[in-house]
Amino acid sequence: MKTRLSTLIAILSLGLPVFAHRLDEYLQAMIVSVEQGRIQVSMRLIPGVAVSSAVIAAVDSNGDGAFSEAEQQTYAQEVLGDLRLSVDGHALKPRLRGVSFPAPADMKEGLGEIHIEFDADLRAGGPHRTLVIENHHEPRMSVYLMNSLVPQDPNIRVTAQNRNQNQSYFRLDYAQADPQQNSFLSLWRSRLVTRLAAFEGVPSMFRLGMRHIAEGTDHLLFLIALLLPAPLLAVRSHWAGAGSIRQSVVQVVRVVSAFTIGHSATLALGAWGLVSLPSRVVEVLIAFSILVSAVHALRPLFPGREPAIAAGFGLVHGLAFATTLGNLGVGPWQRVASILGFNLGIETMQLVVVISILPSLIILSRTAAYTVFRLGGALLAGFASLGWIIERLFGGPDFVDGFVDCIAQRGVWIAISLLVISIVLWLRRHAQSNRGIFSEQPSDQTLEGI
Amino acid sequence: MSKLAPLALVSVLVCLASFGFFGKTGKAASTATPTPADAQTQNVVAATTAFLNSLTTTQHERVQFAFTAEKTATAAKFSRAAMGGKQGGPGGGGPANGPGNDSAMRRANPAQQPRPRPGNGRGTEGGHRGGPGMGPPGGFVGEQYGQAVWSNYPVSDVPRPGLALGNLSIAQRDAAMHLLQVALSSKGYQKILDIMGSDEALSKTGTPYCSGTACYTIGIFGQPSTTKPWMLEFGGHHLGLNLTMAGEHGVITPTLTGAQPAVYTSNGKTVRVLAEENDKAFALLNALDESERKQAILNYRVDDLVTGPGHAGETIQPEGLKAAAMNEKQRAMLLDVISEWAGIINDAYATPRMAEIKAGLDETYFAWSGPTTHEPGRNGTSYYRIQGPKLMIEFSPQGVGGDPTMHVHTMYRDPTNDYGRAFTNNSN
Repeated sequence: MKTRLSTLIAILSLGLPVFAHRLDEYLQAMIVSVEQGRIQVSMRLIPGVAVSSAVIAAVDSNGDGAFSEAEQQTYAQEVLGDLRLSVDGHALKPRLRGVSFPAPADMKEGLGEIHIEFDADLRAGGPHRTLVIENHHEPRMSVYLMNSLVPQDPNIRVTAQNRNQNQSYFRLDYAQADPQQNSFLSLWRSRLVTRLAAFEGVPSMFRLGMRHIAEGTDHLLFLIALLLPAPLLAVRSHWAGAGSIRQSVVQVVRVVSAFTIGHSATLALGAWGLVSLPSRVVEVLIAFSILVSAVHALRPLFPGREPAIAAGFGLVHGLAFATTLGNLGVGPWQRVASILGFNLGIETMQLVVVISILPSLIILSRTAAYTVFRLGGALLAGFASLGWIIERLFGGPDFVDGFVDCIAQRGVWIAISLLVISIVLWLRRHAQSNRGIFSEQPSDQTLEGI
Repeated sequence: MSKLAPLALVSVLVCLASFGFFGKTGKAASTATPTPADAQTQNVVAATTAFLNSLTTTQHERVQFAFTAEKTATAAKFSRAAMGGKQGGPGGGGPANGPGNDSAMRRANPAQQPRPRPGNGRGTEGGHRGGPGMGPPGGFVGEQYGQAVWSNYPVSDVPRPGLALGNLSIAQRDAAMHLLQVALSSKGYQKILDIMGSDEALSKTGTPYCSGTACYTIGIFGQPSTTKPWMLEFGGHHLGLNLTMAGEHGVITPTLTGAQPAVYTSNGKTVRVLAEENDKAFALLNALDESERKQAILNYRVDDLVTGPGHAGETIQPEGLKAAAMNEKQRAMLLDVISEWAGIINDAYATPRMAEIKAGLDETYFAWSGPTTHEPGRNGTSYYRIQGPKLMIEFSPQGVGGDPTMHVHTMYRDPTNDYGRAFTNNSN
C-alpha cells in the first residue's frame, strides 16, 4: 500500500494526468539527405493528444471523419507550402513524393504518424554550398527536429550545421569535393536518371527537356556559336556580309534540324543501351565542339557544310545522356517514351531560343555592329569552351560554370535587349543611308569581316 | 556460467535430439574450440529451449515466428529506393509476397525451419505495409524487422508479436525471466527489472492502456541455435530489447529503454530508473573544460529521439565534441557511459562490443542539449547523444506535458549492425 501511495505521489507531482506519449505538442521531425543536384526529405508529423483534434480538423476538410486521398494530398501540400527551402540563396521548389496518414481514430489517441516524403532539385553550384530549411508549419503548437543524414555520396561533405533554438530553422553548409561531379552535365544526368527510374510520364519529361535547354549553358552557348555566322555568307576564308533573309532562315533551319537529328539518334541508342562512352570523354568532346563552332564563327572553317558538322556535334551531345541511360530499372518502351518526351522538350526549347534570337541576328547582321557582336560572342564561347575543356580534363576550378550561368540566367533579358539594340542600330543605319544616296541594296561592302 | 554449463549441455542435447538435428550439429559442436562467447550462446540456447519446452503447443505457436534476415532493417517508413535512390532497385514489391509466404512459414514444422533469406527480406512485412513503395500506413509508430516489432508506445497500441507475461503460468514466467537473466549481464537484467517496475508503477495509477509487467511480451524468431541466426525480442511500454544471436555473436542493437515514472518506490525502496545513464553523463559533462563543453553543448533544444523506432539504417550527421579531443580520463568516462547500454547484454558479448566501440572512439561524438546540472536523486532534463562509427546512443527526457525528469526514452543502435545484420546477412 505504501508503495502504491508513494508512486501516486511521485506521479501526481507531475502536475498533469499521466500519458505515455506525446501530449500537448505537434512533433515534426525532418530528415534531409543531400545528393548531387537534389535533396530528399522525409518528414514525420506526430500530433499529441491535446492537439490531435486541431490537426485532424485541418486534414479532414469536409469533416466526414475520414482522410480521403485528396485531403491527404492537400494537407501535405499545405505542409510543403509552410516550408522555406533554399540553396545558396535560391529558393527550392519541393516536389511531393509520397504521403501516408494514420486512421483518424489513431491520430486522435496521439498514436498517429503522418509521413511526408518530398524532394527538390538543386541548380549546379560551386564547391561550397548552403542549404537552408525553415519549417513554419503550425508554429504555435509544434516541436521541431531537423537533421541531415551523412551524405551517401563520398564527394559531399557536411562542413557545418546551424539551427535556431527550436530547430525550426536549419542551415547546412556542405562541400562538394569533386568539381567534375558538380558539373552541369553530371547534374542533369542524375536528374534524368532519377526521373526515368520513377517514370513520371512523357509530359514531365517534356518539361524537363525544356528546362535542360533553358538552364543548359553549354547547350545554349553551342547553339549561339552555331547561329552566329548563319546569316552571313562565307567568301573565301572570311565572313562576308549578310545573305538574303530567306537564305539566312533556311541555313538556320538546316543547322538546327541537323543537330536535332544527331542528338536524337544517340539519345535513342543510349535509351536502348546500345551506346556508351566514358562521361568525361563525352564532356570534353562537347566542350571541344563548342570551341570548333566558336572558331568557325570567327573564320569559316567549313563553309557550306555547317549542317553536316552540326549533325556530327548533335551525335556527341546526345551521348552525354546516352552514357547513363543503359541500365535503368524501367522497361525499354517506357524508357524510349521518356527519352522521346525529353528530346521533344529539348527541341521545343531550342526552337524557342532560335525564334527569339534569330530576328535580332538577321537585323543585326545588316549593320556594322554585327562584326563586333560576332567576334565578341565567338571569343566568349571560345574561352568558355577552353575553360570547360581544361576543367573537364584536369578537374580545375569551376569558374566557367559560374560565369556562364550568371549570363544564362539573364537569358530572356539579354535576348530582349539584343532585339532592341539591333532594331535601334538598324533604324539608325537606315536613317543614315536615307540621308545619303538612295540605295535599295544594303551596303554590304561596309560589313566585310576579318 | 560454469554452474549452468552441465544444465546447458543437457538441454542443448535434448533440444537437438528432439528436432532431429543431432547428427549434423553435434559434429560441429565437438570439433569447434569453444570460446566464452560460444559457451554463452549455448547457455542462451539452452535457456530459450527450456522456456519453449515449458509452453503448451498453442502457446508455442504464438511465441515463435520465422526469423528473416532482412537486407536492410525496414521500418515504419517509406522505402528510399522507391524514391529514386540507386541502391535497392524498385522498392515497391513488398506487400504482394509478404503475408502469403511468411505466415505459412510461421513455424508449422520446426524441422523445416527456413534459413534466413536475405534477398527476399522486403516482402515480409505482411499486413503492416501500405501502398507500393511506401511503409506501413502512417498510424504505425514502431519499427519492424521481419516479423519482430518494437516501439516506445504501449503494448495495447502497438502489439508486439509473442506471448505477454500475463498469459503465462508462474513456472513459464520464471522460465522467461531466467532466459533474460542468462542472456543479459546481471546489471542489464536489473535494469530491465527496474524498467518493468516503473511501468508497473505507472499501470497502478490506472493508465488507460497496457503498461504493466503483465503486458511485457516475449517473442522468439527462428530456431534457437548455436550456429544459425535467430532472435529474441522482449519488450513492453518502455522497453524494446532485440537480441539477435548468430553463433558466437550476440547483438542487442537496436534497444530502446525508458522510464516513467523515473523514480518510484518498490517494497519501501526508492528506485531511480536509468540513473547511471543520467548521472554518468552529467559527470562526464562536468569533467570537460570550458572550451570542450562549448563544443559539446548544442545551441538548440532536442525534444525527442532522432533515431527512435522507424529510423533503422539512418546515420545522421554527427555533432558535438569528438572524443579524439578528450583526455584519457574523459575518454574512460565516455566509455563508462556507453557501457550502460553496451553492457546490458552478457559480458561474453559485451566485451567484444566494447572493444569495437573503443576502436572507433576517436571518431565518436558527445553532444549535449539542456542544463548542465541536475537535482541529486533525480534525472536531469538534458538530452544527450553519443555517436560513433558503430554506435548511436540517445538519452531523451520527455517533456510531453509533464516533468521531463520523471520520463525518459533512450535509444541504442549500431548503424552498421542493427539486428546483427553484419552477422546474418553475409550468406547471400
